[in-house]
Amino acid sequence: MSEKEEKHVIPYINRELSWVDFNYRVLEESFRKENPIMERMRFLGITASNLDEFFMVRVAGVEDQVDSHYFMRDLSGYTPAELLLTLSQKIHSFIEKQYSCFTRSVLPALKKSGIRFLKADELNESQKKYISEYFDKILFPVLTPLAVDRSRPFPLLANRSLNIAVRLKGEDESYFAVVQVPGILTRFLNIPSEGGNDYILLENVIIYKLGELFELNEIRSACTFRITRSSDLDIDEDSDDLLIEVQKFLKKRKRGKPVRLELSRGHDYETELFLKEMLEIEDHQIYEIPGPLDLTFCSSFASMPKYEQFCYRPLQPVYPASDFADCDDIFKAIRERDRMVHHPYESFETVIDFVRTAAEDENVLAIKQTLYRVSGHSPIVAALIRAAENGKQVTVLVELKARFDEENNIMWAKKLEEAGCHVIYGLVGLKTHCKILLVVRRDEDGIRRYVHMATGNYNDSTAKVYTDIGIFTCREPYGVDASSLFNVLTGYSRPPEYNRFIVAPSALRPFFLRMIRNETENAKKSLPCGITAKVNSLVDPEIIDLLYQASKAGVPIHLIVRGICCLIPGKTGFSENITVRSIVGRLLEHSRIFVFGNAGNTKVFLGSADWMQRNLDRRVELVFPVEDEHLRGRIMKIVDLLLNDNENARTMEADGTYSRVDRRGKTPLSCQDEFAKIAQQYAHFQLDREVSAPETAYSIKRKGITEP
Amino acid sequence: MNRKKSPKLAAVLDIDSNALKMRISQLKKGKIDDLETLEYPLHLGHEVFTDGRISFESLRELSSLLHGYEDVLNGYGVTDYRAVATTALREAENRSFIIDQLKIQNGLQIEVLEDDQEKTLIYWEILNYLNKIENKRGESALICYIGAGTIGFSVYDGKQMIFSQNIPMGSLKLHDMLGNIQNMTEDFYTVVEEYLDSILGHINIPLENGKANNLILTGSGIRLIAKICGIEQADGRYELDSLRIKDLFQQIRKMPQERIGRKYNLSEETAELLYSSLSIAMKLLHYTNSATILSPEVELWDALIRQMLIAKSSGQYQDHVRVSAISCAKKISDSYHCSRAHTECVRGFSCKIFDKMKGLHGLGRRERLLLELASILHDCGHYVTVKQHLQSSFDIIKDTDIYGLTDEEMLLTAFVARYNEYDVPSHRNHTFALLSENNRLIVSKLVAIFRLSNALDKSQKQKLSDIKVRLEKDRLTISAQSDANLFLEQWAFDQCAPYFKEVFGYNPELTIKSNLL
Repeated sequence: MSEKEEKHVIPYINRELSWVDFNYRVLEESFRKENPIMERMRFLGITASNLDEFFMVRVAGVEDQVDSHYFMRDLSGYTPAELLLTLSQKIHSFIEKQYSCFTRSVLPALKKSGIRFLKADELNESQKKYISEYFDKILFPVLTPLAVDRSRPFPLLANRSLNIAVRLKGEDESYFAVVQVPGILTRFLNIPSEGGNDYILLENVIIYKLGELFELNEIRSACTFRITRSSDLDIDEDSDDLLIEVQKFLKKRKRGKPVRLELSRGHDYETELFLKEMLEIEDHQIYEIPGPLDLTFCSSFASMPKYEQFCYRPLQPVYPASDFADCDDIFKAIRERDRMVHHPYESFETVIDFVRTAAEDENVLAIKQTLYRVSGHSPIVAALIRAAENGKQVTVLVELKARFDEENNIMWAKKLEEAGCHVIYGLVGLKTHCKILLVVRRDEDGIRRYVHMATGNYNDSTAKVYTDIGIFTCREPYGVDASSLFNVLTGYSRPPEYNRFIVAPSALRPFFLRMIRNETENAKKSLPCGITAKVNSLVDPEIIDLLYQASKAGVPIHLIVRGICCLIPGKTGFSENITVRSIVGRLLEHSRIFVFGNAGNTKVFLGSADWMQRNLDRRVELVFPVEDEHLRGRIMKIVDLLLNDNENARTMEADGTYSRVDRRGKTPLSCQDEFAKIAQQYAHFQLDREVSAPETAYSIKRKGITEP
Repeated sequence: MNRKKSPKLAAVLDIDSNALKMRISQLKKGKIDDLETLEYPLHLGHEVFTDGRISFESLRELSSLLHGYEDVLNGYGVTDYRAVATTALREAENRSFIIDQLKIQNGLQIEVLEDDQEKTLIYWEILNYLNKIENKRGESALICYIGAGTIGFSVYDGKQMIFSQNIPMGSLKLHDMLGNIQNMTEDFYTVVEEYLDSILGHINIPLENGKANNLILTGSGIRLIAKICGIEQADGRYELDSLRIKDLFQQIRKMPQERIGRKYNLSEETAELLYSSLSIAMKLLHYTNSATILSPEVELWDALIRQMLIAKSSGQYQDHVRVSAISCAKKISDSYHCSRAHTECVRGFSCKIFDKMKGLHGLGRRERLLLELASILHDCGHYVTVKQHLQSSFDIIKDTDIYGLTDEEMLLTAFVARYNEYDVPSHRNHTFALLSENNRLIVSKLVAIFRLSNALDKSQKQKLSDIKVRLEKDRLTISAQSDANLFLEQWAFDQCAPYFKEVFGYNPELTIKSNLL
């Protein structure tokens, strides 16, 4: 780094710390009394699984940096060692809050609904009898207590498994045994009660019956513990800040090194010392948990059908989507004009229909598609298999490296190959993250290409809870670009100059830099300007720096960033013209939208990329312009609503903290509820033309773009 | 769907020196609409220009890519395609093995285009393009194609192509030939410039002042230059300012390629291409008065696909080649002071006899063109020597570049001219004996016709202005009206008759009627 660059310091929040803040925002949702109780449970479960993944990948990454004696400060001023300590402190506080939520807010609320989590000493006689029977018949046969002594080493415990450490009295001194809580059994055991809503956690049953496992020994103490190991991924794709030495170190790194030890509060000191020694873990990695370990069970608990009444009223995705209402020929509809589907408010079935229709249509010659994450029984995959059976040429790019989905993806890849599809696995070193589907059809007037481009994966399960936008078009430049992109992905052609597509890694970063600089120039010339961007994360320092410069030049910038945001708004001399909001609600905000004022000729783009180094530099991502005026209008309305949400939105302050939007004097507005309403109204409007068009259903002052 | 309504599709696979390329197009509402363009870098040219052959590793890569390209073709249901190869495969010593392996492994029949074929197809596209530009129509132009292995050099006088020359020195070849000197001298640019001078310096273009109104350059190197100069393509062409090119050349001429690559963010290979192309472009600037260089975005496959998709296009192309080849031949004939009246007279007679004998000789329009060219050029040798004029004509013609004709075709033309009198084609001539049987037959048939035609104007005084040709049972009767003394012609005709009969089995007879009767 040159001297000049070193001096150029910008306000920048460390991304790991920013992530913890995001998890706080999710946690807030489980505190919210307005949310149905099972949804609060679910949010709590999400915070726990989020945190697990964060430890496995991100914290493990920082630990690696520390271990390899990497001491450079990051943009936010932290050395890895300092960051690790700060993270540890911040996560300790988070856990206190998480468990305060569980014990003081969620459990009492459950109790009010007649649902109880009981401890062994709270059980009545019949319940005790029940768990004894359960223990004898079900649990006992699957439990394997493992004693640890000189001849028996400490067992290799599975990542994220729940265990019980038992200290036993020996002849001279204590010795230890470990009992793994079986993961194959339900974590929460429904025990007989009047309403049928009493539960006990499995580990409590085991602890209650420990004496039967260790009949010959005196139990001195027992406590639950859980270890989290670094992810087995060789190198995390996000590790942009790692130096080469660190990468070398990673190769030597012992796979699955523990990065966190959770111990139930009230454990005895000797047990802690023993585990610390056995697991080679340091103090900052030990987390004392004031409640049941591993709250991820909350999510599966909340998903039990019997408690549906305590969940959100199910969202009914509109089907067919408004743009396809009254249409019996999906290809004809796309030929007439570009079409858009807003998920999950409008059903993903429309996309499945498209693939199914293509699979059966005798004039369809070829189908090409990228698959990043697909569901367990993906109807998309089934339709592609059908297409191949029908003699279509089917090319599928399966991204095997989609994190934690590798196994699922390999399985589908094999099925597709067996059916005769041409399955490819993308470019070496680049994760294929773009979401694109191309159908080549022999129309009466010639070959025409139908393209679907989306911000979300072709996954019918996640499409029910992720907000995403998909566009269908048969405009020729898009068709040419789609073909070219697939030819690059199949390795048949080098990247061409695309007509409309902006494709990472080569072109996306320069594109965004150019667009932001363009707004800065426009502001300097007093031309209409403005940037509105909705991404999942904003981390990239170069983009952030340019956004600051744009703000300084007077460009109004509105950022909707659900997760990590390293940019700080409202900083004097840097970001007075920038606002940052995060929307965390029942649905996961996932669409990526980019709007540039562009001197009055507003440009709207959608895409698969966040503003992170990995998306811009190390993945195949696709960003594309929305050219259809009608669809641009729809997207602008979506952006307006996102910017006017005062229910689920938090704004980021100049000190980096988030606070809920002040809605004094304003009508409560949840954009997600509003989108659902609009979709329903559209559906109604299509069915019954007497109902007024939903454009008039709300009126919002447009933000984001200055007028001349 | 009714197959009649199925779109007409065509594809061209092009194995060139730098890349494997493919284009798939369809005919939509009478216009050609490109569906796919694929391009994958393959450095066959480097291998051939340095080692003389294509390695089997490259063959395997090529074959595997071609399998992928076949998948793409199948995706559109394309059955009508041509797989062509240019310089690299053409010059590879092991070209037959490579072609054979590609046929076995991929089921592809690769057509290796001769240099002239390749260039002519491109020129035709360029001329089609120029004719669409209002202020360029009818203007003279020097049209050059800077390929990886050759430079095509042709002159358009506003109506026809009048000159064509191919120089076996393309941008990649130039680099590969001189590249090893680069590390020995700091004056590498001088070496390149002198070398180019030694080749291009001898070309005199047949235009007033030796300069064309327009300079048209094509080839990937030119597109690269345009890109570096920041010139955007507009209306299917780049317009480059010659001063800008000179500036750019001044900037990079002394730079090592690695620095050029760094400066313009180019790979080393692309930097080499830039350097060589720019050096060549600089030399070509001498041949024009124009301050701008036009570079239409035309490629080989544009012409091939046009011919495949538009039925009449193939005929138009053949006509264009014929007209241009004849005008080029006439220019050459003029430069050797041949009698235009005589050559045109012989050409006319030859064509008449050829056309009448269509059902007997089994030759096509291409061979007819060779006959025409032989008629136009057969006397060139007289300029060198009267003593050995037949051999001189042969030598001149076989080494002359005529627009649209391959080296092989020019050799056949030279043989036709060579045997216009005295000798007849024979195995005793070793060069002739080396021709394929088919080619020997072609030459023999054309010689038989040409000798008769030439005999009809033996005195070179055009005593016969018109002839009538009739085919009867076992005779070819040529009748004409004239009151001139035709003893010489009759004698010459009789000399040629036996050979004609030997070739076709028809006895030629000449009947002259007096105008006075």
